[in-house]
Amino acid sequence: MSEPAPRKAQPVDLAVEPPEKAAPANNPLEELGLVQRAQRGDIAAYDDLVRRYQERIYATVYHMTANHEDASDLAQETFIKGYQALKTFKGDSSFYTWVYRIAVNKTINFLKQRKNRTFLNLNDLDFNAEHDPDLVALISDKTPRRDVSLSELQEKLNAAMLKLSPVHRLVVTLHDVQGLSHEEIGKIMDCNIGTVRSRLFYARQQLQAHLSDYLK
Amino acid sequence: MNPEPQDLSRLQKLLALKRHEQPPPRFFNDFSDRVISRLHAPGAIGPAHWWQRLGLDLDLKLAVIFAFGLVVCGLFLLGLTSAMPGEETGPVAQGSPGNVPRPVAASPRVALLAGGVGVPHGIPGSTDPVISTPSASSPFNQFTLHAQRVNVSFGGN
Repeated sequence: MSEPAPRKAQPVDLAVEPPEKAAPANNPLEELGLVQRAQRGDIAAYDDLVRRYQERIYATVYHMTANHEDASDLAQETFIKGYQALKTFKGDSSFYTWVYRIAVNKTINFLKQRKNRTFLNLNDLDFNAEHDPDLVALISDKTPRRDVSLSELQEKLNAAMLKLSPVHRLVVTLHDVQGLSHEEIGKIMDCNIGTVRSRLFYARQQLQAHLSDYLK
Repeated sequence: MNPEPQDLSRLQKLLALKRHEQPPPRFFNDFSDRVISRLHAPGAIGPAHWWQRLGLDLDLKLAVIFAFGLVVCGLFLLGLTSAMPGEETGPVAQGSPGNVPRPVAASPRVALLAGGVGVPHGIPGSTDPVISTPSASSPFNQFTLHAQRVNVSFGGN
């Protein structure tokens, strides 16, 4: 412990800056043109929109479900529902936020139906994981509980994530894994920034409690 | 428990591990093709529901709850209206002055009042009491209160 803990827990954001900015760098006007074409039934334009966001939508759903097959199905269903509901898209928010909302609602409904029946089907770690200095440091310290492999650590982390409620898991996923800002998360989850911060604070507390052996 | 900056930093490094979890190679190569082929599949794009056309994307569960509530309210109102005294159109008295039809009073007392001095026949007035017998099928009949005169004598004298 390097610093004394404050007396009372406050939902303050102790976060270091998000790892990377995951917001789309697409030209909004170009995107709006694609949306308008897709609204007129242009499938090619919609295909372009799917390609732009497929990885982010899949990743969000995957981190929520910890199951590749479920994530694949839910991500496809998200884009199908997006096309079906495209006529109701008024442009009040970006298409990116709008389609994210569909994915999030679909995933939370899916998790509610599945309840606690969790079947982990984790994706493999990419080659870079073994060379990430931060991750190497996490498993190479000479402490008793650090003699785990990266894949074991991955499993522990996912198990801890699944212990969170869907909304808390979502906030951690969007902020700490995908790097979205509080404001963007508030738009996606349809809540204010204060709620996002407090949910993030609570979710991190829970994760720290579940993973305490690997964080000391 | 309060998150400490050092632990938080470690937690964020640990969470960074999730960014290295990648789907099978070439998974995204044909992802959009799968979506588009499902869109082209017959029945994939069904006619939108009326609430979707109105821009209201309602959850089915909410809609069922709403419909159930509507049915319960409807049944309640139906029961209430059937329990309330209805406007019964009885036989019309013939031969009254001016030959104006007039409903027959429901009880002798009311008939007396209606035929009494100062209340001309055939002219409905705001002071005419409107008394109707409750329908026999009303479920509230059994709860009707009846006043009954009783003689009470205290002992002794």
